[in-house]
Amino acid sequence: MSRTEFRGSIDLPRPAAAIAMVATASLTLTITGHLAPWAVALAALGIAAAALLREAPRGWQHSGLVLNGSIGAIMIVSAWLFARGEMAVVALAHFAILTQALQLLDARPRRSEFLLVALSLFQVILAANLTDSVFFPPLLALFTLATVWTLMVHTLRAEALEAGAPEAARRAISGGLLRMTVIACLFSILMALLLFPLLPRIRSGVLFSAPFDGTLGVAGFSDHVELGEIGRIRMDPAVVLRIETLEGEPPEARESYWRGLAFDHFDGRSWSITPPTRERVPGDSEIGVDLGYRALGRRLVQRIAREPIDPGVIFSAGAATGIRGPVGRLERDANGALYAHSTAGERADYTIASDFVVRDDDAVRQTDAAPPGDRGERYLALPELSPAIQQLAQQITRGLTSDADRALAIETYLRRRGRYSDTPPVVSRDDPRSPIEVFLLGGTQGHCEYFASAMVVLARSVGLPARLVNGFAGGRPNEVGGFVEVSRSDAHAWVEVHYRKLGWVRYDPTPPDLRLAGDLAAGGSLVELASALEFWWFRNVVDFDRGHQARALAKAWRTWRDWRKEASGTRTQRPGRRPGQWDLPDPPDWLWGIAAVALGLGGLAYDLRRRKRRRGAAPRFYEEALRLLRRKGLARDSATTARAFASRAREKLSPAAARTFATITESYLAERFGGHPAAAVQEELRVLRDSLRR
Amino acid sequence: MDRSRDPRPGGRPALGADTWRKRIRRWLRPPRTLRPTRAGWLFFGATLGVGFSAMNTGNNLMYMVLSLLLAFLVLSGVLSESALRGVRVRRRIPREMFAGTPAPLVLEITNEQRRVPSFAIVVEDLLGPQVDHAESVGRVFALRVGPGRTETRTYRFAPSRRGDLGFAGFRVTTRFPFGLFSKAMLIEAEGPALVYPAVEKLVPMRSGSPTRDWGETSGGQGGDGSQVAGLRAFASGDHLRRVHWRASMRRATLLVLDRERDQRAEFEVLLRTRSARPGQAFEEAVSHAASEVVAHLGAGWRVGLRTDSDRLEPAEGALQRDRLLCFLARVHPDEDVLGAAA
Repeated sequence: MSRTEFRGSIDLPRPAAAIAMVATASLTLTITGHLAPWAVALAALGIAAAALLREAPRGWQHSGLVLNGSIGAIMIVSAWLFARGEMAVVALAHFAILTQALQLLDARPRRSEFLLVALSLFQVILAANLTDSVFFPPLLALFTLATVWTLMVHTLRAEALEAGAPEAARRAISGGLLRMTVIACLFSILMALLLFPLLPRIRSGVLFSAPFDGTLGVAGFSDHVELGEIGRIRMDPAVVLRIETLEGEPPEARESYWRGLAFDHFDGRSWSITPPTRERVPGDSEIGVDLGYRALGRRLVQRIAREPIDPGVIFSAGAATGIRGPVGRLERDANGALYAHSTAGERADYTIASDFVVRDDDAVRQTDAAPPGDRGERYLALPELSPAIQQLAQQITRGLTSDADRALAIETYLRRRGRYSDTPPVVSRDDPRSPIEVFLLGGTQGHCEYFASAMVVLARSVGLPARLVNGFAGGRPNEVGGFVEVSRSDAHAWVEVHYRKLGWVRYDPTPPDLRLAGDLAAGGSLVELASALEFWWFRNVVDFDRGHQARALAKAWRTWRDWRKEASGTRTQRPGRRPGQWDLPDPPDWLWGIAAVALGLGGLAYDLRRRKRRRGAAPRFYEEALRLLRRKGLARDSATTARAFASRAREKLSPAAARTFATITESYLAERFGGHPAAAVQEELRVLRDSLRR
Repeated sequence: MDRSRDPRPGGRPALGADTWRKRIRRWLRPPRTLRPTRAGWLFFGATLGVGFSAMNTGNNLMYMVLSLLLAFLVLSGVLSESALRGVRVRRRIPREMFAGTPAPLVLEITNEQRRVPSFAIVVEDLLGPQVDHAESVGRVFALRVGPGRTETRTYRFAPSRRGDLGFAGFRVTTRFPFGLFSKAMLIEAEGPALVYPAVEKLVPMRSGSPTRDWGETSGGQGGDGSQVAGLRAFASGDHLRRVHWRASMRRATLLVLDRERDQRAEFEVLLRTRSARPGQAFEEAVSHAASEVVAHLGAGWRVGLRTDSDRLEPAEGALQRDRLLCFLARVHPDEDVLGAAA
């Protein structure tokens, strides 16, 4: 008979592990955030109903009409979602989660559980494509455990059914099998952990390699932004940058700015970059690219992990002088902003060297403002605005002779006069006035974009070449992970004014109180730990690529080689420690001796205890068996030998119980008189207990 | 207990060449065979698909899923191996097997591992000259064989013909743990067996009856066999009722009281082999002869057998029964007859 197919149909309730498997898979898909709430609720309801009705299914759960009809409805709903504009994979996710719940409710006899397992696995695969959440691996581990148990139980049941002894499965599915399952799961998880870094990372992109989720990117950093977009980004507390300082003194929170894009053209309502073209930056970013910028301040090297941002803007603490990392092709626009298009919808991890300058007003006073050589007049261009703006600018800078003082005066005016608000002035499209006019000539109330735009307008009005810069500012230190964490709510806009000898100098006209609120916010160590864990997860697992793999293997090889050298006795005097190495003292030799003795004694104690447990096992089991028989009115007196009692019991007990008790008796005798430790008789005891119960 | 019954000398070929052939075959035979089930093929396909997708997109979470699927495959192999490793099977052939009559064959399945139980073991008993080209004549199933335990299972086997049978070994398969693969191992366990001819219930003759039809003669004298002939050592086939316990205790060995045979009835079965051809008719004649042997020995007669080329002296008892049935199990028409016929 072929053994490549299961032939019998199982009509037993599904094991609880099957419910757990489905629930875990559905939860994995739910955490992607792409499922509609109604779909999640329906699926949860289905799973709960399946759990409650597991032992006593209703009639409709056996009806092919109901179940197949429901599948049809699910297919229609999924097709409708796709037609409505959802991504195909999201529509598939809805189909999978609803069908799975329905499959769980199906109580008809089945030949195999593989359809259920296949659907669960499908959900997990979809989830792997829709999320990179740090909760994915623990859910995957739970899924593994539930799936292994489900398949094992099903296989044993199917085998017993084919052999014509379905009740045998009940005896085999025991605590011992569960223990074996747990050990097997741990083994498979360890093996998976071992395989994960070894599998080749080639990223062929043969068919389709773009990430499925096109909405992960953050808007507001394209080369055309409407006034107010930065304000909208600030509503989102999600982390966008994690910064580790590798070289140089990390700036204080109030001086922490990460520059993104700079805009030079303002039409009264929106900012843009002219010209919009970008030029390619020569060089291979994997090796490192020198950006050719003349440094004026102090060198700061930071490693930045950036979440997906459209259109792949590269952030730096100052003017970028060099970059290294797997960011692909680099481009630069007319205002010096860097782009890595290949990272537009993905996380980017790069190391960037910046020229970090803290503004020194005295030094700025030594020079004067002048537009940069290359088409610098665009930094003085203004849209058609009310003459009152010009008058205001002149009023603010009246009597000031140096350009630096004028810029400082405008900055100070806005900081003192303005009031931060998340609700900027509302100006309809039909209103001919610019929102900046309303802002400056009204209550001077708005968010950073308005303050920065206002300063640019005022500065240009008095002949200072200025531009608007979008980026992030502030952030919170994460002591657990050793990095600074910047979230979308730290999005900020500020101003740069160009000076002849100093280049572009930063001004921040936004009132300082709200900006400082960022570094006062206390996340709590638990939140920091969660963020650090997530950071570790993203850097070492989600973003693990060929380069990481090569470096990890090289490091492992070097470690192995060094260990071999030391083990073969070629230990030389330890060289001086390199910076960053752990600075632990060498343990004294006597400590090793004590540790070895303690380990040896511990092992001996464990072994003795194990032997003692085994030695005493049979008599304890025999006592337990006698106790069970006493309950049935069969008591052994002291004058009766064990074997004689077993013979007497044979006449009074059922054949199964008599056989089992005879086995237990023989084990007892072998242990007691034969000096052989008895084999475990737990199973026999259980069978005896069950037999006597009937 | 296995019975190796081969009263005719020279029945086995020389061991040397055969042993070398067996060794080479054993060396070339893979220790395990693995056949994916339908679910196993689907699982393979899913793993390949996930692998392709992971390498296509570079998505590390897909790599994670791929790693787990590959670990699953390894785990399936390890657990299925743990189910088979250490499994030993021993066959107990019944003392007598008759053609066409189901006989219970006992298989003792032992798990020699000390800690790991074996799950979902199916053992097929293989009949044939070689274990890898043999036919399965029975299968038993053990859902769980504990470590160090032996499970006994019985299957009923009805040999289709009389004569020598050669059990080659066993095929042990399991689909544990996930039902993705059916893993099998072959165990060489030769077990020769002899199948007696089919017997039917016959009424034995009463002493002094006239001669029966073709195939047998009757003869001998009637008597009650009450005369003591003497004491002799106990032999295989002697009934315990004939043991003389007092004498045995004195001599510290089992002794049987023998009686004079001149009072016992004798019956000689005649089987024509010279003019017979192999086929249904000859088999029926052999079967009838065996039935006569069994019936008359059971009735206490001294029974002998005569063919055109052999004669087995009449005797009684279990030993004589074995002797005659063994002969009848292997008897063939005389070759001279076949040559003359050609």
